[in-house]
Formats: sequence, C-alpha cells, structure tokens
Amino acid sequence: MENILEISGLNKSYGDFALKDISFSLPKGYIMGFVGQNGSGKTTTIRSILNMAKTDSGKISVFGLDSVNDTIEIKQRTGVVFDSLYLAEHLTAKQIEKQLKPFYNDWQSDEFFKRLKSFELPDNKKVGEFSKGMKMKLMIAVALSHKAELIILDEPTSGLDPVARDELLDILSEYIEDENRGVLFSTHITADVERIADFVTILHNGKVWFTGELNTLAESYAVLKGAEEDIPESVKEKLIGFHAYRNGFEALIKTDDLAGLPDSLEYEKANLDDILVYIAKEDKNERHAENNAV
Amino acid sequence: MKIIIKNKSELPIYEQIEEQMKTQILDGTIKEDEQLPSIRQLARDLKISVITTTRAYNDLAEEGFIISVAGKGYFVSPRNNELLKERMLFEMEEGLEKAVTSGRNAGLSDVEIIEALKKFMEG
Amino acid sequence: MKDMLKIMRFDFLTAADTGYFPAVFLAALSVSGAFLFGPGCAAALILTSICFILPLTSVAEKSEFHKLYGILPVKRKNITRGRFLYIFMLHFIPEMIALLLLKPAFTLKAYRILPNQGSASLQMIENAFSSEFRSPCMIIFTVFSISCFAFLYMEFTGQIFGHENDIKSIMVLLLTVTAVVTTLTALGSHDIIQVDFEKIRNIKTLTAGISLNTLLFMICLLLGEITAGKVSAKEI
Repeated sequence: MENILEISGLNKSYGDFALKDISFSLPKGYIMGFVGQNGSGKTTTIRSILNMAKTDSGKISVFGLDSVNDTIEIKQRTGVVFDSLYLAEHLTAKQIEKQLKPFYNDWQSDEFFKRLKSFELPDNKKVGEFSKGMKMKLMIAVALSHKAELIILDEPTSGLDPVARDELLDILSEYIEDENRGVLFSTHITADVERIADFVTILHNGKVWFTGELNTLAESYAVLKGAEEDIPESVKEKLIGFHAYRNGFEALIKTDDLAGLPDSLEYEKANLDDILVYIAKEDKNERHAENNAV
Repeated sequence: MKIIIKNKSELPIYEQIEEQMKTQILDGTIKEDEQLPSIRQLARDLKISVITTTRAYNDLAEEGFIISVAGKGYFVSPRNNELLKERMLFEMEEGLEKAVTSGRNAGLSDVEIIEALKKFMEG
Repeated sequence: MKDMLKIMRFDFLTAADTGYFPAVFLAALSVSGAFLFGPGCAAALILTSICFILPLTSVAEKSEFHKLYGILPVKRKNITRGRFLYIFMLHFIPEMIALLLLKPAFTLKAYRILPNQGSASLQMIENAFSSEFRSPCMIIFTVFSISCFAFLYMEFTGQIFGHENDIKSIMVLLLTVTAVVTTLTALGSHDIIQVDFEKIRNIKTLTAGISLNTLLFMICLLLGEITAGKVSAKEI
C-alpha cells in the first residue's frame, strides 16, 4: 500500500510542550482520524505537515515529496480545512474564487460553483456572515476545487450541530470513493472517527499512543468492571486508568489480558471515547502516585 | 440489497453487514450472479469506513458467498458453489430440526409433521 | 515573478472591496488634485494612498486570514515581496494618472471653471499655474514619494515588529526626519554645510521624477527582501 502521508520521528518542542518522536502513516485511499485531548499536539502536527511550523527533527513526506523542500507542490495537491475560516471575511464567495484561482494549476471554477450550489452557499454574500457550518463547507468547497488528492482537516466539526457534522462525513465519504485520495482529520469528537475512519492515530502528551486500523484498536481494549477485591494481583498493573468508586471499580484493559479473569468481573468492548478517557485517568493516577511517593 | 447498520449493537459493523448479506443471499433476496456494489461504493452508501466493507467482503468471499471477478467487481456466488451449497444445507437442517422439535412440543405426531411439510412444498 | 504578481492581484482584490472602489476614488482625487493643486492637491493625493492601504493592512490582521498564506502554494518570500511591490504600485499608478491628468488641466488652465474667481485661494492657484509646469509635477512626485516611503516603512516595521506598533513606528520616523531636517537646516544656516539651492531648483523635472521613483522602487525591493528573509522563517 502506497502511503499518501508519512511522518517519522517528528520532534518539536516549544514552551513547556513537546511533540516527541511522532511517527505514523496514512495509506492511499483511506481516512485517518487523528484524536487526542485538546493540547495533545494535533494542530501542531498538522501545521508541521503544511510547513507552517518548523520541526526540530524528523521527516514528513506527502505524496512521497518532502514537506519542507517540496511544500509548494504539496500544497497544489492538498486541500486544507481549519476550524475557523482563513478567507477574507468581507469578500463574497465569488470574489474569493477570483482571488484563489490564479494560484492553483488545476483550479476548476465550475466545480467550485457546483459545490457552492450543492452546499447551498450563496456566492454573492459576504462570507463573514456565513454560519459556522457554512464557513466549514466553504473551506471544503475550496479544498475540492483544485483536484486535491489529500484533504487535511483540523477540528472541522468543532462547534457544529449534528446535521452539519453528518453532512461533512458524507462529503468525506464521497471524496474517498476514489482510492487515490486520502483524508486526515483531527477531532476530539470520537463518534465521527468511529463512524468513518479506517485508521486512527491517538496522540497523548505529545506522543503517539496508538496508530493503526481503527477496527484493530476497537477489538484490542475493553472496559473492566467489578469489585476491587476480585482483581488478581498480576492483573492490577495491567489496568489502565483505574478508578475506584463506592460500588466497585472501572478500568481499561487490553483484551489480551482478559484471559483467566474471574467471572465476577464484567467487561465490555471499549470505544474510542473510553480509551481516551482512561488514558487521561491513567495520567492522573500516575501523578497522584508520584505526589504520594514524595 | 438492503443493509441496516445499528451503531449501538454489540456486533461490530462488519459482522452486521456479513450477517445481513448472508441471509439475503441464502433466502434469495440477492440473486445469484448479481453484481454487488464495490467496496468503496458500499462504504459510501452506508457512510462507514472502507476498511469495514473490505473486511466484510473478504470474509464473505472466504466463506464462499461472494466472488471477486478481476476488473469487474464482486458478485454473488452461483448457486452451485460448493461452500454455498454446504451452508444452505446446514440452514435447511437447522430449520428442519427446529420444525420437528416445535411440532413435537405442540403435540403433533411425526405423520402430522410430515403432512405439514408436504403442504409447504405444494403451497 | 509570476507568484509576486499573483500576490499583488490577491492583495488588491482583498482591499478592493472594503467599502472603497479604488479606481474611481483614485481618479476623482487625482482629478481634483490636478484642479486644485497646491495644498489641496497634496492633501488629496495623500488621502488617496491612505484610503488604499489602510484597509489592506487592517484586513490582513483580522481573523485567521493569515493562515491562508500558509495554505496557498506560494513561497513565503514571494508573498512578502509581492506585498511590498503592491504598496509601491499603489502609489506609482495613481502618481502616473495624476501626472497625465495634470498636463491638460494645466495647459487649459482648468482652474478657470472653479467658482469664486478672484478669491484669495484661487489667486494662489493662479499664481501656481502661471509658473512653469514643473512645479505641480514636483509636488506630485514629492508627495507620492513621501507617502510611498511612509507606507513601505510601516509595512516593514509592521511585519517585523507587529502591526500593533504601526503608530509608534510612524512617530519614530517623523521624529527622526524632523531631527535630521532641523539639524541640516541649522548646519546649513550656519554655513557648516553648503547646500546649493540653485542646483536643487534647477533639477529637471523629469530627472527628479525618475530618480525619486527609481529610488523608491529600490527601497521597496530592499525592504521587501529584508522583510522576506526575516519573516519567512517565522511560523504561521
């Protein structure tokens, strides 16, 4: 499988935060969800891919091209959607089209206006007056109008109502019908990822916690519940994000580690939300342990 | 072909697709040799990931329910496909077993059960 | 370079719809400048420039518009260079139009159609018109050059130090210029520096015009290069 995006050994530190050794790849023809808590480094990674941020070390390649040296060619073939509009708000869609057209070798005006129509966006109204959902769709219309083979979206659905979110997922679904394209979208709305992503990369504290097929991840973890006393000693350290409450405990556990557990403990498949929540809880537990040890 | 995905179901989505397609192939809703939507088309129609539909089709192909024709796509296996036949026989036996058990529980004699069966065949 | 032209067009289109219609405004002011040269001309011409450029710079800072420069397939350096060229063109083109309009207005003594014939201000204009044609030309050259320099300078300091500091930068510039001019005048009046005013007065109009514009073009390129170098390393 050819990779449309490859990141290896990306390191970047700024302030008191750092991206550490980020590596993941997206094969052609698939959608990757990029998830993690706010502040885990998703936007910085995306900005690095677009050469909008400098990296300390590591290599990023898009379409097999280097993200720094060949950034212009990459941008010809990449569409970008951010969580806020990056176009001049006092202009109309028609005027914006005029502005952007000369920059792209493969700009298709009729495609752009066709999209505006199907997204129900007026072409003669100031885009600053669009609703959030309309602004998002405008950015998508732009992204889809220059034969982009890769679309990168950074929190495209934050602040959108369920209808707009659904519409976006539909657009991406249609886009990926062509197996030569790819989509990377970062979000903290895990439901969107579970619905449509083929691959997922989880970023936690600036590191990659998991990257691979979403189905694999879904089958790899379970939420374990029961009475604390029933947990065998050997299993205790395998629990992630252990949380005890009055009537029992909850924790995340790898399905591989479920073998041989007493029947009194119950488990159910973990979804992406669960995983993120328990990873965060694990952090908290570790911090408490450190504080108590001191 | 009608597939309905239940997001809240315990069953993974690819399994739901497999189950529903198998049922429809076995009961003839999807005809033999019928062309199926491509992996990506199906993903688009159901608004799910491509990898999920790929998994479903791969599993179904492995079990003999569908076949992949190079350059053309996926088709329902012809009825004389061995694996399919075996599976259908199995379904029949299951059905018969259930029929006999139910009939006996209802107090019918074996002869009455056979009569009922004949009626079905004629009707 | 093609990219820089694209950026210039882009910047123009961005500014073009901020409530102003540049071409009409510009032509109107240039014409009025040609009619009422003198203090009025200078004021009108400066106003034109400000009306052009302020909307551009203020728009660029609003919202997330700057992210677009990270997304477009253009070299960051060319974006900056294009911006500086744009500011230069914003002055050069109106300057040429003003000159073109001035010649017929001057020859035909267009001021005669103005009302209040015989008033003091009109007398001033008549006096100016009765002098050689070079005078209004020099005024146009000087005013546009000053304005152009001011805006190039503001863009330069704005990009490097942040546009919030624009006012400060202009203050610094004015103070420096005032200080320099005062010093030179003082030195001149005490004959420490010989300033040959005769020579200055006899500079040919055309020479003056071409030199000033060329000088400004050079400044534009220079500041553009420096800014491009400094800013392209910055993150978006």
